[in-house]
Amino acid sequence: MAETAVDKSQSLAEEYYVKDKQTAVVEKPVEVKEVENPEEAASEEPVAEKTVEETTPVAPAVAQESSEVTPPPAEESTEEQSSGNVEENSGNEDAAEETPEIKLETAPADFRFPTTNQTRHCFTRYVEYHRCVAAKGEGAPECDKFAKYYRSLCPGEWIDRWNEQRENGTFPGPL
Amino acid sequence: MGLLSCFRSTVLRKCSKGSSGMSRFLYTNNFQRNLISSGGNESYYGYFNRRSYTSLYMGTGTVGGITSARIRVPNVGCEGFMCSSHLSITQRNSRLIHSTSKIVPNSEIQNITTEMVKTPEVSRWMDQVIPTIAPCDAAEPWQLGFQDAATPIMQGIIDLHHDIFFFVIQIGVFVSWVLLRALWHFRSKMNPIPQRIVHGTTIEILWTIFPSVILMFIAIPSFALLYSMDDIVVDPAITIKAIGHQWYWTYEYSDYNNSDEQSLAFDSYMIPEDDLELGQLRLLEVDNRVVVPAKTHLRVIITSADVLHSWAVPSLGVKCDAVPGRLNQISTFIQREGVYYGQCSEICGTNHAFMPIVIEAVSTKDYGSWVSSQVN
Repeated sequence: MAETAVDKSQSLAEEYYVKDKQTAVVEKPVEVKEVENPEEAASEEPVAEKTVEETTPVAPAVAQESSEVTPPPAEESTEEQSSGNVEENSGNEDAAEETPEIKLETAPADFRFPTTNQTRHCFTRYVEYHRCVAAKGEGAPECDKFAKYYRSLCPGEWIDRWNEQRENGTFPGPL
Repeated sequence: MGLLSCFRSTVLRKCSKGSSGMSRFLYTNNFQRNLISSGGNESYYGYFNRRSYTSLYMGTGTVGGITSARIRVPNVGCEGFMCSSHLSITQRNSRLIHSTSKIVPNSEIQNITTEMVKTPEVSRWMDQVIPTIAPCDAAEPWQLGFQDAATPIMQGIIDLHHDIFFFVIQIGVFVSWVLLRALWHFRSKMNPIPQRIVHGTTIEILWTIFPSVILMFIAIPSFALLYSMDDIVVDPAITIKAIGHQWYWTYEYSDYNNSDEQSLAFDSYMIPEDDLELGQLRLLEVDNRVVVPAKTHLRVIITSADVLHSWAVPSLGVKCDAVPGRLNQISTFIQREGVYYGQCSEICGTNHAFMPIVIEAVSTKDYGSWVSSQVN
């Protein structure tokens, strides 16, 4: 968990660093493109490692984290060109976008629920979160992961109904 | 199998088509993409975003109702002259148009952004919009075959259909020949007294073994495709919840909130026929689109709040029932950017035909801009 988080934060910092360079040095696009390539090569390696790690375990891994799939290099070049054009025009937008960091993360696939029906998956994630809160106390950092998982999987109306049932003491799950 | 690995780019094939309907040459996606790319709170699209995309709950302790705003997002239409000129360009230089549709010059984007801030009317900046051809995947009028595939699953479905259709034609011709021959040769004039007992051991063996072999050749690619659709293989990067109501869809993105009340949720109503702009599709456009990044594994969780619905998008090859009290999951991987249309496919009442689905696949950076504009 910590290692992958550190890696992602570094990659995000590198991306922002590249963006700053692009805004600063507009007259030399060739150097910017040259700089981008090794960083992407460096970023591809942890993705490959993650894919290797994900395929190895057969038991259900709750700590698995999803990552963005790396597109083929031919398509990357076209995306680079299009994104470069957009970035060169709007410097203010980059400043606005950098403030909130949005990670493409969601609840991982769980081998306990391999079928199309994910109702029990949502319910189980909710119960796991509240068990974690009961065991480690409110606001524990270990429980944030479970909170993100059940928020990704459960509809908002279900969560509100379950929260109301918990307050009334009529929640049917094993909390 | 080679079904999923032989994915072909259908953008060139789309551009090289001879006669195409008006719906093929819309500029909707290009407009939407530029609107998302401009970002920020001062842009034209941001203004509509803040009004039309409403969160389910305003504050921490406040329980608010679901606000469903129906504001028309203007789209660029296609005039006759522009359409005819681009048809000729399409037939001659399909590759040039393919490359032009992705890389946009700098000055053009600046002009569009400036014009969007100044005058939000459609007719004024229509002349300055880049005349590109964006892939908007909707059925052509009276289309009989499949729509162009945007996912490997849909490409596999199309290939499987071609394989099975080959056998279907052969079997149909052979069985028709046998039937007509029997009708002719065993008519009453030639056989006044029909035989009661007819048996042949050899033909019994033949017509038992050959159908089994044919069924095996049909089943092997079919099962390969079916089990490649399993959800458990890859961890998704984004989860979208599609909740069916009578008669609209509600979508929730809950990966980016820190509490139970900050969900990015919006309703998606059909634009009525009276409010359609030039070039928009009848019974298919919605006021709020589902924006997803292309080339990313998605998880769509489908449920319903009242009656049965079905979330179906033909270009993506997905169709999944929305059952109240049950969460159905589908996984998809959109391979190209574009706008894909679908409709509710489970009869759900009077307005079953008026709850369409529109998915807009954008680049990952544009998706980040869109989420930033929604969450803040």
